[in-house]
Parts: sequence; structure tokens; C-alpha cells
Amino acid sequence: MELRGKKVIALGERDGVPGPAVAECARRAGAEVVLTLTACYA
Amino acid sequence: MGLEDQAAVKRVADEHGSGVVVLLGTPDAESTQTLAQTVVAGDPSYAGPLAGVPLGLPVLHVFEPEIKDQVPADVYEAQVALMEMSLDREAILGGLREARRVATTS
Amino acid sequence: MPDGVAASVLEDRIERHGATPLLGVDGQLLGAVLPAHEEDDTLTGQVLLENLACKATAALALRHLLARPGAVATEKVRYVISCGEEAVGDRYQRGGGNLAKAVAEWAGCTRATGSDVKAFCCGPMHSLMIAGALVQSGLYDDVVVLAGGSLAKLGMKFQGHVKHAMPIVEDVLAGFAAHVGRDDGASPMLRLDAVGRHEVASGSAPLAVVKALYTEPLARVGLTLLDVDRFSLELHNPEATEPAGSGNVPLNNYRTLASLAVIEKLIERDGIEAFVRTRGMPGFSPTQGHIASAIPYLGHALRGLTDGGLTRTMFTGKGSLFLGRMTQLSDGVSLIVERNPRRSNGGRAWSFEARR
Repeated sequence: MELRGKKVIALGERDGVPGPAVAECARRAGAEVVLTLTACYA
Repeated sequence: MGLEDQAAVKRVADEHGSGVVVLLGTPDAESTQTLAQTVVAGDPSYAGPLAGVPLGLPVLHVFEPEIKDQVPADVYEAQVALMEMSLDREAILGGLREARRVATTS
Repeated sequence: MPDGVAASVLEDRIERHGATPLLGVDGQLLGAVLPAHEEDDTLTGQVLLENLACKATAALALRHLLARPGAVATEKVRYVISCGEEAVGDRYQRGGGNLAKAVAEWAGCTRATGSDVKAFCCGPMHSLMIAGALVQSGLYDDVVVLAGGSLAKLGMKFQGHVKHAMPIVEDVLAGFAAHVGRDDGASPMLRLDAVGRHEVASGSAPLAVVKALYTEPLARVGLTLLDVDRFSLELHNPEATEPAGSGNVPLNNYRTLASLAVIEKLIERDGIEAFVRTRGMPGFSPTQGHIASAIPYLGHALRGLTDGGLTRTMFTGKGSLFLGRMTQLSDGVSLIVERNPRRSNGGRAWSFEARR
């Protein structure tokens, strides 16, 4: 699936890949990030 | 997934309609499968705003090769590579596949 | 302890005065916690109970610390730093704080004052750093860092435990107290020249975070990851988290650290397991939170750095500031604790207690 042009909900995990890191990847792949969340011990 | 987070996801999904995709950074198979199922088929614990609410959103994980290919190498290196090495990528992708399988059969 | 009251009195307080009931395992009404104010929702019975639980466990740890042979004299404790996760205050100052002083009072430290350091799970590391700086500056000779347990974290992962028909294992309120003092020629040393910090600009990219917490402070003093005998990170017991689907956080963190060593070409990729086994440890803290954040290993490290074979240990705390909704940032502080270069037998200025 192509991320370019999509609206991404970035769901990260503190001890995985945190939300802002997931969001940055999405952004740089051409997506628009509409929500960023980071869970802690989800 | 916490109730407030579920509410936020639901609100954003409703607001933006089509073209919304979920991208995960979860660290293991179980949390990946649970979270993926929640945003596709609804809250498996039947507790939150997404209980019984199938958003049907496409779910991806930053460890998937097709996602990695779309991110500039230096960005992926800085943001993801370390965790890709330290976590069990195969198990995580397995959890994602399982969640997708469950979603299409339910 | 004062006499109890009749059940009818408890029921009246609960029904008509907003008291929070305390129920036994079989549902029997055992007591109640009265609110301190009719309208102030920051002084409900629930809040007071949380704060009291924290105060009591912190004070117990401090009293144990002071009762040990060779411990610092009670009247020499001049400053206490409390780094628990409670919020002591009222509606006009919800997190007013200084539970430290209440704890010092209860433990009989009549010449102490103190303050609270609030930094989520990273509180203890920030507090140890600040304590070290206070002693190093000459302002105080003896500082105690302590924290009580978080009532809210009892049974936090209970759903997973119940689902797997196992006991609810997070049934411990932990507290700790550590004395930081001047160099006595024997006690392990806190290296204030090698404090690792996650800064605002560090961002949340995992590689940048570990570089800020490990690579940079170690390099600053000419060291690498391989110069550290043991790392103490998140130490929450996976027996509590795995049934709840939250994985093995200590193992993940140690594997991440080992992966950094691979990236820095200090070890090969197939050396990750050995790195984790020899420089890490299984998580053994009964609860999450500030207590689990590196602190449980402190006493063991001190023993290893005096009577044992350790030369250098490194402690890292991480705080999930984003949970408070004021920022998306995380936080982290790392501290290197080393064998005293003039180490001789006997003499300890550090103590660590965790009590049920």
C-alpha cells in the first residue's frame, strides 16, 4: 500500500517505535499525519 | 488500547473519512495483533469506544518491507532501524498477518 | 493505633460524608477514608489514601535506612528529595508537593527540609543526580533520595492475570531510600562528569535517544558500552506484564542497548544475546513506575562495587512525559556508578530498601 497522499494515524509504543518516530516515517513517505499517539506499557 | 486513545482514533477516523491508514510501532506480536484488531474489527476486550465498532482501517507496521521501501533510508535509519534490530520483527509481522486474517474472516 | 469504630459509623461516613470505603478480600467493609474537604476533589478519600500510602512506604524505607549499622545519623540528614508519583496539594495547588518533608518529619529527621522532584519514572535518576550535585557543591554533606509506592499501580495489569487464572502479582507497595554523601574512600561514586541526558532537541527517534543516554556521556569520559559491567534499566517483572500483552520490557530495552553496541561496531550482531545476558538482568520489580526504573538494582550494584567484582555500573531512567498531555516528549537520565578508586573494606554511605 502506498502511503503517499494517505492520512496516517501513527500508533507508537515507548518501548517499540514511539509515535513521533512512526509519524516522521509516514510524513517522509508523503503521507499526512492526522493523529500521533504513544502508548506506555500498552 | 486506552479508552481515550480509542476515542481519539474513532474521532479522527470519522472526521477524515476515507484515505485513513493506521501505522503501528508496536514492539511485539501480541500488542501488534491486539492493536491491529482493535482498529480493524473493534476492541477485542469489548471495553472501549471501539467495542463492537469495526472501523475497518487498513493497518500497517513500520517494520513491513513495503513501508520501509517508501521511507528515505536515512530517516528509517534514525527512526526505526535500532528497534528493527532489537525487536522480533518476524513475530511482529506474524501478529499483523494474524490480525488481518481474523479481520477478514469475522 | 486508635480504637476502631462501629460498622454503622463507617456506613454513615460513606453514605453521608463521601468517605471512600476500604473493602477486604471477601468484600467486608473494613474501614473508610474521609475526604478532607466537602467540595475539593483533590482532597477526596481516594486521593488522601494514595498520598498516605506513598508517605508511609517512603517513611518506612527511610526509617530502615537510618536503622542500619553505620547509617548516617538521623540529625545529620539535612535535605530529603522525594520522587514519588503522588500529587500532594489541594484544589488551589493540586501538586503543591514537598511530601519529602512530611516523610522526613515522620522518620524523625528533625534538621531536614526537602522538596519533591517530579519526573514520572525518571524521578529517581533526576533526584540522585541532584543529590550528588548538592553534596558536590558543598551545600549539604548528607542528602537522602527516597520515594514511596504508587497505590494506583497495585494490580495494574490485573486483567491479564485474571484472564490467565494466575494470582494478581502486582500486590506490593514498594519504597526506597538512598543516602548520598561525601566521598568516604569506600562507597561507590556517582560520576557527575558523565550524566546522560535526553534533551528537548534529542527528539524521539530511538537511535538519538540511546545516543544521548549512553554513547555521549560514556564518550565524554573516554568510555564505551563495553566498559560498563552491568546496566540497570527498566526492571519491571515480565511475569506481570507478559500475561497482559505488554511484553518483556527489560528484555526489549537490553536488546535495544545491545543493538546500539552493534551499530557502534563494539560487538557483532550475533553478540546481542551474550551482551544482554552478561550486562543485563531479568526484570524483578513487582510494579511498574518510578521504583522499577533502574532503582531496584542499586543495592545489588553497591554490593558488587564494594565486596564484589564490579567496577562500573550504569543506571538509566526513562519518563513518559507524554502521558501528562503537556508534551509529546519522553525524558531520560543515565548515571554511572563506579567503584571508589580508594576502595578499602567496610564503610558504606549508600543503602537501599524495598519493603512490602
